[in-house]
Amino acid sequence: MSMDKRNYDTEKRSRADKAAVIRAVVAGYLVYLGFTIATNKNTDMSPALSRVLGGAFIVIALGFGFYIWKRWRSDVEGALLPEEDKAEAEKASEE
Amino acid sequence: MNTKAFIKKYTMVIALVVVFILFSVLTGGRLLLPQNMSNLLLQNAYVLVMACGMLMCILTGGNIDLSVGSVVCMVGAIAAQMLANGMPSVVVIILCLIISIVIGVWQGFWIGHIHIPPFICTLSGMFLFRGLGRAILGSKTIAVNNKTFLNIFASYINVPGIDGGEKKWSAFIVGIAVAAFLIFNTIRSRAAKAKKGYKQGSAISEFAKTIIISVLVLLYTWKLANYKGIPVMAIWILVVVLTYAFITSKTAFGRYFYAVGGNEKATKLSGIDTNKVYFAAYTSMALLAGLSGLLWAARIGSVNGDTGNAFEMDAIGSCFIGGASAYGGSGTVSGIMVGAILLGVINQGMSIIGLDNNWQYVVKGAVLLIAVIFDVVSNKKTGKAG
Repeated sequence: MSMDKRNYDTEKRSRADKAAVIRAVVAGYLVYLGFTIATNKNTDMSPALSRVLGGAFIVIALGFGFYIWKRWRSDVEGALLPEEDKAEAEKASEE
Repeated sequence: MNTKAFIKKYTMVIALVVVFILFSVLTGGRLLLPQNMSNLLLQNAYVLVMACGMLMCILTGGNIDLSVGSVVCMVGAIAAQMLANGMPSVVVIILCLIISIVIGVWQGFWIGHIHIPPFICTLSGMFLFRGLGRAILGSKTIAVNNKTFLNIFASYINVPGIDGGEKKWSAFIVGIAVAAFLIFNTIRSRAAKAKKGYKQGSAISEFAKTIIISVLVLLYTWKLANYKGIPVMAIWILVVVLTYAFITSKTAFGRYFYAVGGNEKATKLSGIDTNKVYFAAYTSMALLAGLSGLLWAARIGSVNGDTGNAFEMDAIGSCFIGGASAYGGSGTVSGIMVGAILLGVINQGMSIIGLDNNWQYVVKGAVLLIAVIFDVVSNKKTGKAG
């Protein structure tokens, strides 16, 4: 795996990563809920409806996962340092 | 303030009122029974307490603590074992709170000083403390029936001479005192501001807000008076909520959490030790998780290996529903209380209706989806990730 050599504003990059993690936890919880609904045997709900509703939650969670990835990419792009700052950052890292 | 601004400012409060009315109708008024109103507070005590700690973590930049449910289990397990072995309850409580602080110091050290990402550190804590909790319990359910312990956390306040009859008047007297204080405080604060020549909001809206809150306090305490009086757990919740509200809104130390979440680099450059802020956030979170473990053990009367499962999601959910930002730097204690009560009303309402548990999951998921949609739509408006 190649290392990302681009220079980022560490503050913005860190915030982008943290926000993505929180959103991923929410998406993960939605997948868990969907799975629980779809596989729950201790219920009066019909198995077909359980699977449809559980499946819907999982699909929405996956859609949200795609959004999280897009949003993270956008935030990371926004955290890229401009050329002049990049030169300064490289100089600082050489020192 | 125009209607649009009002709705934007009080979205969650309006949502709470709508959900409350909806479940009051759906339950045929049973939600409003004194016993259910009292239970609303007791069943959500752990969320209200832990949400305060989670807010401090989230404020530091959208960090969360995934280990809180496991800490609840472990501290509850330690308390149950010690009580079962005949240790005095006060000693057990003190020891459990010290152990909670030690857990917080452990996590705060790795996150604040070694800079391990909070997600990784608390995820490992989630497995570690759950495992330790189960080991302490020996995979059994241990009953908590120490009378003093239950009195400290799960009893009701009964003042001799006042609460002898069917009605527990002390609860309503407290309600009257709180309502009077709120009104007096509004008058005093406005008079002080007027004296100093500060710009103030409309007197009508400010007094209307105070009167509505006072009426709600009176109604709630009247309901409590008609049941068993004020639960001791309410005092614990009140102490935690007021302490955290004071720290976050009135102290410089509280402001540090917002500053770190707003811009960590600038905060560091202004001379604030950000490591200490992270350390404090995770230490206080673990302390509150430990306290929740004790409250839960007393409320349920037993502890098992599954105690505290998914509690972290309740605390995190309350914070986000209550308006804390995923990027940190914004959120208030009053906001997260609204979020926690909203979740509590939904849970309680569904239980009273006797809704099938699969439908309960669907409703919980739908609430979360609304938060997700809000997140996506609000970011679209700011032109990000569109």
